[in-house]
Order: sequence, then structure tokens, then C-alpha cells
Amino acid sequence: MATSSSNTNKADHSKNPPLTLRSSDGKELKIFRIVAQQSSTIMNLLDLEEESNTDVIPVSEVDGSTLEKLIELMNNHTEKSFNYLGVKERKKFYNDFFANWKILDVLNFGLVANYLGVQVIFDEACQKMADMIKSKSVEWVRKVFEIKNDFTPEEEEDLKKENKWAYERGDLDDGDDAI
Amino acid sequence: MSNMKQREPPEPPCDVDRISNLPEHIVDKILSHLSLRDAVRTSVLSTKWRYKWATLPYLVFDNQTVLVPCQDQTLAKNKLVSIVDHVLLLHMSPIHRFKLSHRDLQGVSDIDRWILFLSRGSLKEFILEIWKGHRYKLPSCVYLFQSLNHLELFNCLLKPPSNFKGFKNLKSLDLQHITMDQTSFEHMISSCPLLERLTLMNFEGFAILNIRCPNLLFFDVGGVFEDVIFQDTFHLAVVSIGLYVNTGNERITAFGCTGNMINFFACLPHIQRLEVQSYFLKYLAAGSIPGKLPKPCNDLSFLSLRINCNDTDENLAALCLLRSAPNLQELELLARTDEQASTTRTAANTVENFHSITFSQLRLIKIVGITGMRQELSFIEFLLASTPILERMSIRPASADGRWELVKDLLRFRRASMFAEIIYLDP
Repeated sequence: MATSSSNTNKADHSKNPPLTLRSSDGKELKIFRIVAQQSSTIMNLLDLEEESNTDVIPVSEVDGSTLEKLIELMNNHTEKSFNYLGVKERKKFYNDFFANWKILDVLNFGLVANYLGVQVIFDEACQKMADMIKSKSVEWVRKVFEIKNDFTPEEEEDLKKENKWAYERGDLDDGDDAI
Repeated sequence: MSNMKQREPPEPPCDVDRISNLPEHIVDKILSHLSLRDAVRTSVLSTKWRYKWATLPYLVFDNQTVLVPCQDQTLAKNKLVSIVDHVLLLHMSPIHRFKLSHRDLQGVSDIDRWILFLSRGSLKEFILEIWKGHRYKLPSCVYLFQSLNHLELFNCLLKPPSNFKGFKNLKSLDLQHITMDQTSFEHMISSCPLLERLTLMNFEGFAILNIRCPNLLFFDVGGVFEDVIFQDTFHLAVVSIGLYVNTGNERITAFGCTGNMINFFACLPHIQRLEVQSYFLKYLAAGSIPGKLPKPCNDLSFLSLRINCNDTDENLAALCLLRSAPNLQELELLARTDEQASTTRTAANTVENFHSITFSQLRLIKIVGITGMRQELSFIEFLLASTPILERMSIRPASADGRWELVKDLLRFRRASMFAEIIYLDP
């Protein structure tokens, strides 16, 4: 069942029964219509489903555990108090949410949010990824995302010289915590 | 010796790469959250990445972006200028957002040149913060940014030309530490028809805030001014006003019989959140104060008042406001102790005035900075007795003096709500 801890959701329960989403691995998850409105994709799928009169919306591109986490975030977003959080508090909230995540998991999560059309969460996932990449070296980024370096050493050197200012102050920290 | 190095024969597209082949808008989004420096560094990741940064629609030059570890001010400034020039030249696509805010940057003429360059494009967001030195006079080409949607200026001098027709697409305007004359200010505000958000802090050159903005939703002002007049602001939902100067009792309202209280709220029928800061409550108290407003503020759910409880004018103004906010959910009272308190009105026995107000929606009350005066305590007593669904009242006094007396009183006061928690916070 989708969690609903605040008073604001109570009124909606009786009027609008929750929707059921089915993930790619067969997990069924409930989401309230008012929460689902954040996802343009779910709304579109809902229109299709209503025509064929089934109760379950298949979300075949997304696995169960990711979908569950996404629904949890979307639930948070509908709470009134969330919208009044200051910038710092929001940042802390997302830092806590993404604590100890591996960067590739954040990327996948962001891609899922993008697929489902939940722009705000997609944006926050991108922000988290940027935060994780921030102080890392080029080599680290290549390794984590498995990017093949197809520059010759000479070309790479020339390119670095072109943008010399960006490579100054190399206090980089290539810790493995995000891999 | 040949300078040509043989590249490795091209390999079939590698599926292992997790990021380089993602749709452009996704990579752009990630890059846009990186500092400019980090974004530029991605250019060496692989040949695919060489120009990804150069098509970013955002360019931000600030203290984190550009690390110029120079002790010499002039050298640091010159370095910054050369980096901005370099980046603008290499950049390859329309720029939608440009932010320049670096501590070593003073009002240099290079900024004029960059603004001229930007005015030829379709810039949507322009943010300029001049940290040091005199107000930087913006060049006239800045008023040609017709696609502008958000404008943010810090420490600038605005002198629009006489043929300036306004920013037709501007939705958000943030002006802090600026100088502008009264006519230019009014003209600018009234010729930005789509304006939704307006922030004004510490301004000089104009003292009357004539705000005629039919689409305004958010208004935040803090500074020294004589009057604030709203016209056609029927959608205005969030207002925060701080008047930094105590104008004193000599002020006579310019409106004849109706006081500031009525005039201020006349064009704010849908206000939802209001913060009255510094001495603004005193401004509202000028002129006649009705028992309650002619039309109640039915949408007002959050109210924060900076109030001097010793001042009868301010008390009456606060009560008027409270009587006119039947759906208030959250109340914040921040106490202020001035040197002189107004006693021009007959000292109202405020306990009598408190009758017949019930806050049927008020759940949260926050009280800060009180010193345990009788007026303050009667106010708290009244609030506790008239809030049947109160969940939490937090009180943080100005100092620890007399805290036992305060706590004893709090313990004694009757509470209309069975669920209310009263929380004492150490000063």
C-alpha cells in the first residue's frame, strides 16, 4: 500500500481508490491518483487502460524496486509541508534519500523518472549525479561510466591546453565511494 | 618526423558505455548541474564529449566555477575576464541563462561588451551580481533583452532609455542594492505585463512602491520606503514586506480618512501568506484602524508579524488583521522592543478586544523574542483560549531572565485544544 501519513491524503482515500501499477518483474504497487498526476506517462497509460477497462497499469520498462522507491518520493512531494521546505531543507531531504547510492543506480533512477515524466525527480537525480562527479578526475568518470577514450595522448594534451583554466587547482578526490 | 599518429581502428559501437549515448537532453541536464569548470573538463572524456559542454544553454561564472587562485586583485580580474571571453567564443549554441557573480569582478567595461554580445541572442535569464565597488551602470543594450523571463541584479544602477518599452516576457524580477529613479521604476513595473515574482531589497532613488501588476503572485520587499500601493494585484498570494526604518508617529497618511490598513489590503483579496517584518506593522497602523477589514482575507493561511507588544497602535493593527483571517493555519509572532512605544491611542484594554475571535483552523503558533511583559502574556493566553485545534505552540523568549515566571504562566493558561503542545525553547 502506498504510505499516507499526512492528514491531507485522508480525504482522497474514500473518493478515489488507488491505482495499481505492475512493474516489469510482476510486482504490483498501489499509487493514489493525486500522486500519480506527477507522472505524465502514468496519466497517458491510464487513459489507455480506461478504454480497455482493466484495473492494472503495466509499467513494463521499470523494475519493482525502482518503481517502489519512485512512488515513495512522489508521495512525499504531494505533502503540503514539502512544498514549503526551504532550499537547504530540500537539499538535505534529497541527500538523505540518495545517501549511499551508487552513481549508476542514481543514473538508472533518473532515467526511470525521465521515462515516467516526473521532471522534478529526474532533475534531482541529475543534481545528485553532478554532485557525485564534481570533484572527480576525468579518469574516474571514464572508469565509472565505462567511456572509451578515443583521443590520442597528443590530442588529449592539446585539448587540455585549450581549456587550461578548467584544469587548474587539481584537488580532486577519486574515492571509490560512489562506484 | 611525422606528426600524424595513427588512431586505433574504429571499433564497433560499444554498448558498455553507460552515458555517452543517452539522449542529448539527459546529458545536458546532468551537465547543467555541474559547475562550468567541471562541464568543460568533460570535453576530454572521449571524442563524443568534446563539444557537449559547448552546446549547453546555461553559462554560470561564479566563485565555484572559476577558481582563480591569485592574490593580486587585478591579475585575478584579468584572468576572469579572459576566461569569460574564451568561453563565449567557444560556445556554440544559443545561450538561455547567463549568470555572472564573482567576488573579484567589479563594474568593469568588459561586462558592457558581454551584455552587448548577449543582447544579440535570445537570452531568457540574466543574473548579474557585482560584489564590490560602486553601483554598476547597466549599458542601454540590456534593455533590449526582449526574450528575458528572469532578471536578477545586485549592486547595479538602472537607467532605462526613454523609449524603453518594458520586458514583455519578464516573469520574475529580483533587484537588490540597486538605484533607480521613481519614474523609471514605475514604468518598468507597469510595462512588464507577465510579471509574477518581484523581489526588491535595499533600493535607492525611489520611495513610493506603486505596484500595478495584474499577474503578480509573489512579492518580497525589504528597504526604506514611504508607501506601498497595490493596483490590480488580485492574484497576489505571497507577500513579505519589511520596512527598515521606524517612520514614527509624525507620518500622516496621504489618503485622508482611510488608514493604511484598509488601503493595503484593498487589492489583496487572495493573499495566502503574509510576512510583516521590521517596522511595517507600524506603517499599517498609521491612519484609522478598523476593528476588522471590510472584506476578510479568506485565503490567508500563514501570517508572520514582527510586533512591538507595548505599542497600542501595533496591537490594534494586529488584532484587526487576526479578526480578518478566519482560515489562518499558522501564526508567527516575532517580538520587537523599541525604545519608544506609541501611546497616542487610549490604552486599549486588549483583553476586552480579544473576545469573539476564534481561530477554527489555527494549528501552529510560533512566538519568538518575548520578554515576559504583561501584554505579551495576555496575548498568549488569548491565543491558547481561542484555538480549538491547536497542535503546537512554541515559545522562545529573548533571554533566560524570568523564565520560571514565564513557564509558570504558560502552565496555568487554559487551552481550548486538548491536543496542544506548548514547547519552551531556550533563548
